[in-house]
Amino acid sequence: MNDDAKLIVASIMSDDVHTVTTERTLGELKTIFEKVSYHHLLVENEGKLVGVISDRDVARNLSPFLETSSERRSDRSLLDMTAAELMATQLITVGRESSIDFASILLLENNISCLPVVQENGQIDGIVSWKDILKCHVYGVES
Amino acid sequence: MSTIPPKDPPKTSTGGQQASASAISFHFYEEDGTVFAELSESSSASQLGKLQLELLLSQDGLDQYQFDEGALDTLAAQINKGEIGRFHIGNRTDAEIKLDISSDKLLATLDVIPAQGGKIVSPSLLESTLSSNRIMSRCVDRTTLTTLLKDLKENRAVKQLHIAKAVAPKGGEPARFESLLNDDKDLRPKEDESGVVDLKNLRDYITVEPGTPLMRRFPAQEGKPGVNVVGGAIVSEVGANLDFDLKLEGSELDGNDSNLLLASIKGIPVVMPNGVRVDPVLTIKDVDHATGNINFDGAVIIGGNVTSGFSVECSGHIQVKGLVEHASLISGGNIDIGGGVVGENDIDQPGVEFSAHLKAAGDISAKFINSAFVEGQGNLTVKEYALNSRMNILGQLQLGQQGGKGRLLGGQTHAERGVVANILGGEAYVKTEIGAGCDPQLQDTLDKLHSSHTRRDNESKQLKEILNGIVAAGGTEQVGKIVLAKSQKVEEAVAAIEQKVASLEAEISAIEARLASFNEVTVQGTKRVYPGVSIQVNNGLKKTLYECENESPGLTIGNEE
Repeated sequence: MNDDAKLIVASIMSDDVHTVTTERTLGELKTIFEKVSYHHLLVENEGKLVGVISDRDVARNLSPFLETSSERRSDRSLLDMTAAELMATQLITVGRESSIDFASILLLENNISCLPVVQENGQIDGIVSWKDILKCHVYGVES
Repeated sequence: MSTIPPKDPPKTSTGGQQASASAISFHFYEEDGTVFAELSESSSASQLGKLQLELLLSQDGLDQYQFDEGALDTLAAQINKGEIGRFHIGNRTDAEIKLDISSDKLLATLDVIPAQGGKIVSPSLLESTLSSNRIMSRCVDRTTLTTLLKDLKENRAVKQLHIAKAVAPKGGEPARFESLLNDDKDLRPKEDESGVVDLKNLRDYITVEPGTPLMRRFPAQEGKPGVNVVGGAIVSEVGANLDFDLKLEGSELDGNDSNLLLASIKGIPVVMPNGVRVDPVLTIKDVDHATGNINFDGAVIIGGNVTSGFSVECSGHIQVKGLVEHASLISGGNIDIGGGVVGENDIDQPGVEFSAHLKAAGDISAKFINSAFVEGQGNLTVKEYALNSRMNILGQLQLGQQGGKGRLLGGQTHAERGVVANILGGEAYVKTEIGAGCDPQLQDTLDKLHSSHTRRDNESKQLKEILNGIVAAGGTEQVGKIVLAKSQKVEEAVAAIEQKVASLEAEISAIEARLASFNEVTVQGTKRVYPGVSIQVNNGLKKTLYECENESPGLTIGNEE
C-alpha cells in the first residue's frame, strides 16, 4: 500500500456495517443496541443510506416508566415508533477515497462521532468512527 | 445654453406661430462655426417640441452640426414659455482622430469621431498621425488601411480599430536529425511487372557495417526577430538544441564531425527520434533441434523455418523467411514472417493455449496466420488470411491491402486502430468476432474520475465553509495547555484536496484526448462480409455493434454520422 492509499478513508473504515430498514421499531432497535458494542446504526432503503440512528436517539425516545410498575399503555406503544421516525436525516458522509484529514475535520467540527461511507448514489460502503481515526494515528494504518 | 449679444444672422429660420409661445429663428455663423437660436416675441407662435426643432434645423440644413446635450429640450421649453433672446445651441466640429499604443507596444488602436459639419480626417492627417506616433508601416495591415480610408472619406465613426500590430518574431528552428539509412518506404513491398508482391521479400532488413553513417544532426537555427508597432525589436528565441542520444548501443559519433553518427558494430539499425541503435544480428538457417530455442539480445534472422515446439525470444527484430509452425516468437521490435504461421487450438475453450504464439513490441507481418495467438503493439499486416486466431494489437490490422486474398475468418480479433480486410467471414458463416477502437473500460475509468473529481471538489467547498466558521470564531483550539491554530490544519487539508483535484483534472484530460483519438477508427470489409461476423467498434464516446445477417458486398462499421 503506498502512502497516498494509506491516507484515505477506505484504509481505516469498517465495511462490515450493521444496517436496519426504515420499518424497524424502537423496540427492535433497543434490543439491537443492548446486544452490540457500537453506538450507531445506518438506516438503509434498497441499499442506499437514508438516515442514522444512535443509541442515544433510542434512549431519548424510550419511556422511563417502561418495564417498571408505573408502566402505562402509552409507554409501551412508544416501542412501535419506526426507524424512519427516529433517524437523523441531515447526513454528513464521506467517500471511500476521502482523505482521513477531511473525515477528521468533519467529525470535530460537526461534533459527531461517526461518518457513513457512501458512494455517489448513496450506496453504503462502510462506516468510519473517531476510534478508527484515533487508531490510525496511534497504531498506523497497517494495524 | 447661454445668451449672448446679437450677431448679424446669415442664415435664419422661423418657427410656427401660436399665442403665448416665442417665434424662433436659427442662425449659423460661418466665421466661428456656431449655431444660435433667436427667440422673439410673437402673438401667434405655436408650441414646439424637440422633434419639431430637429425638423426645422434639418430644413435649414443645420442638422449636421453638433448640438449640446439637452440643448433642444431646453430650447423647446424656453419657446413654450414665451422667452425671448439669443441662445447658443450648437457648433460645427471637425472629425477627431485618436491613436492609442498599448503599453507593451504590440498594438496600436485607432478611434475616429466623425466630423459634424466640419472637416473629415484626410489621408494626409491620418498619415501624419501615424508618423508622428512613429508607427511602423510594416506593422500596418494593408486591407485594414484600405477599409479605414474608405470609412474616413465617408465620415464614419471608427472604434478601437487595430490599425497596427507588432510583427511577431519567428522562433529558430530546433535541431533536427535526418536518418542516412533507407527509410521504411523503401523497404515496403514492391510489385513486379505482373503486379505481384512477394511477401517473402517483404522486409529484408538492411544491415550496417561498423563505420556506416547512420544519422546526421542539423544544429538549431537562430530565429528572426520581430518588431513592435513603433519599430522596437522583439527578440526571437533560438531553436531548441538537441543532442544525439549516445546511450543507444551500437552507434558512436564520428571523430571528425560531431554532427554525424556512425555504426560501431555490425547489425540491424533501428532509427530512433534522436539517434540510431544498432542491434547485433544472429543469423540462423532454421530453428530446430540443431539450434534449440533461441534467446538473444539483438536481432535474429532465420533463413528457413521455426519448427514445431521451438521458441525465439530476442530484444530486436525477428525475421523468418519461411514458416513458423506451432512455435513461439517474442520480439522487442518487429516480427516479419515471409511464409506463414501455422498453429492449433480449440478457440471455443477459454484458457486453451494456441500452439503458435507471436508477440512483438512493434509491427508484425506474415503471409498467413492460422490458429495462432498474436499480440502486437504496432500494426499487423497479413497478405492472404488470418484464420481462427486470437489477435490483440494496438495498431491496425490490414489484410490483403498490398495484394493477396485478405480474408479474416473465425477467431477473435481486437485491433485498437481498426481493421481493413477484403473479406470478413466465410461462406460457411463461421463465427468471426471483430473488435476495434478503445478499451470499453476507458470510458468507465473516465466516468469514475469525473465522479471522484466532483466529490473532491465538494469536499473542498465543505472545508472552506468550515474554515470560514473557524476564522470567524477566532480560529484556535485549546488542547490541554497548547493552543492550536485550527485554521492552519484545515487549510492544509484544503490544499491537499485541491492538489488531488488538479491531478484528477490532468488524468481526465489525458483520457479524453485518448478517447478522441479513436474517433476515426473503423472496421472495413472492402469486398464482402458474410453472416456470422460480429463487429464492435468503440469510437471513444460512441459504441457501434453490428451483427451481419445477410451477405454484403462490403461495408464499413464505426465513425458513421
